[in-house]
Amino acid sequence: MNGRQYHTHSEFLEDSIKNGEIKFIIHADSAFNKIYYFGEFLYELGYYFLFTFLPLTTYNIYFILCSLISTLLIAAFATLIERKVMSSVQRRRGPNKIGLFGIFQPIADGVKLLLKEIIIPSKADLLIFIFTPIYSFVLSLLIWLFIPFSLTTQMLSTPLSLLYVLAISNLAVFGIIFSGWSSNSKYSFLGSLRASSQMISYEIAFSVVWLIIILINGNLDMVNLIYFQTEYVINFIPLLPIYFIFFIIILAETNRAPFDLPEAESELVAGYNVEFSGMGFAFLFLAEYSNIACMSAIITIFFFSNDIGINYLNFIYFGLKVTIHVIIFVVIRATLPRFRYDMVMNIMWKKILLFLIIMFFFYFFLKFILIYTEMYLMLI
Amino acid sequence: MEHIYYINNVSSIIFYVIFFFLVISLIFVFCLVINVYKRSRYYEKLSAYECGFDPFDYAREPFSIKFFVIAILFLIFDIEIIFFFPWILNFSYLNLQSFISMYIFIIFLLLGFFYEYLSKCLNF
Repeated sequence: MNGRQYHTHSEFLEDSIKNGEIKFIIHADSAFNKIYYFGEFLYELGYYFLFTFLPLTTYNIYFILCSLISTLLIAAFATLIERKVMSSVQRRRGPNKIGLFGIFQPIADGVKLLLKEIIIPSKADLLIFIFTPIYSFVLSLLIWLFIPFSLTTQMLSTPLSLLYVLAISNLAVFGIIFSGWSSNSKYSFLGSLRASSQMISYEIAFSVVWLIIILINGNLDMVNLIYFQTEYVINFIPLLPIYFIFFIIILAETNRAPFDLPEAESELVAGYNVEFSGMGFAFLFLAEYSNIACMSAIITIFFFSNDIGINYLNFIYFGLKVTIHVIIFVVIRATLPRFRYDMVMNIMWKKILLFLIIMFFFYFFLKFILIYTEMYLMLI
Repeated sequence: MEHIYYINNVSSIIFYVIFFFLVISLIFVFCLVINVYKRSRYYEKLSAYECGFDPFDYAREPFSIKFFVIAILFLIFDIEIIFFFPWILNFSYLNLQSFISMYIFIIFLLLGFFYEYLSKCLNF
């Protein structure tokens, strides 16, 4: 070189640029130094890509990984809860061979599905067929970003979280429509039509319950719900009928027994999921179970949330309540027979919707009286 | 009460979407690539599943109009609920005129709903 000792890569670059050499030629006096400078180059290149392709700070990587891994774990262990609890109701043991009490069963299922062949039927719409499981799973991952686990823990904190969660849950219908249409099978298509019309009918009731909750909340922030339930009283007590109706609506939303005609496992093979195999099926399956867990989380935040001071205890308490709701889902599946499809729609349009309109006006007038007689001052 | 805002913005949800999409697509593409190395495609596997029979009819058939009617009704009620949001959020600042105008809106929608109910649109 030029008889000069370079201590940093930038000094070397400066000199090479001054001398008209802009190429990255690593002139170093020993092999070790060559490797060192090459490594330094890679390090700087890595930082370049990190800060241009990932947002703002490294906080977001943490949240992305949290959301991804926790959703996968929740969905995986929800399948295990289902199998074990349903088997207990039926007086048998569930899977108990793989790990201690079957703990590693979901991992074994996941690995099996990963290695199976994805059979793409002929004349299937290839783009939509491949897009569907990815779409469903991404939606179920995104919804977990807005759910607060305590007063100060929310992966993507925003004063509009209620609106975002409602919007994302409304988009889940498309996954069903895509999966039915893209498999070139008229049974899956009809099954997806029935499932999607069931889902969109119950979306209306779902939204009306959210209207009631927003009325009581005052703004669109989920953290505010937790705050006033901690201060005053949990929502379960004044809103008792809404809790039961909301539970029924959630069962219908997630196509879950007794509303699971589109995916009746003992009669049809898998309804609209029939042509998916291997990882495609795994993603749809995981999306369904993570939706169940997400709806359980929403119902606990709406009706049962309470914030103890310490964050770690909060997470355990919240997790317990969500798990209890998931177990209730499973016990209902094991206990009740299936509704016929016309009964399902009949319940929604002729019974639940009218009842909810009446309840909405009831709570509306309560709040009206509270504000316009200024009795809310007693709460402060 | 204080909100604790981290550095991320809700507009960064697009990055979350892209990242999740890429990661999950990678897993899926890995599984599709495995297919190429298996090289076993035959008629029984590729045809649609009908409990063992050969597919009877062409799959893209017309479907019942009831599903379309439900979709239209859902659209109308969903838009109605969207109209409710600003009214409910500003509940404490409202006056008599806002209530009356909203009640007229609700009455129109309920009239439509009862018309459907009585004309047997909602029967299956």
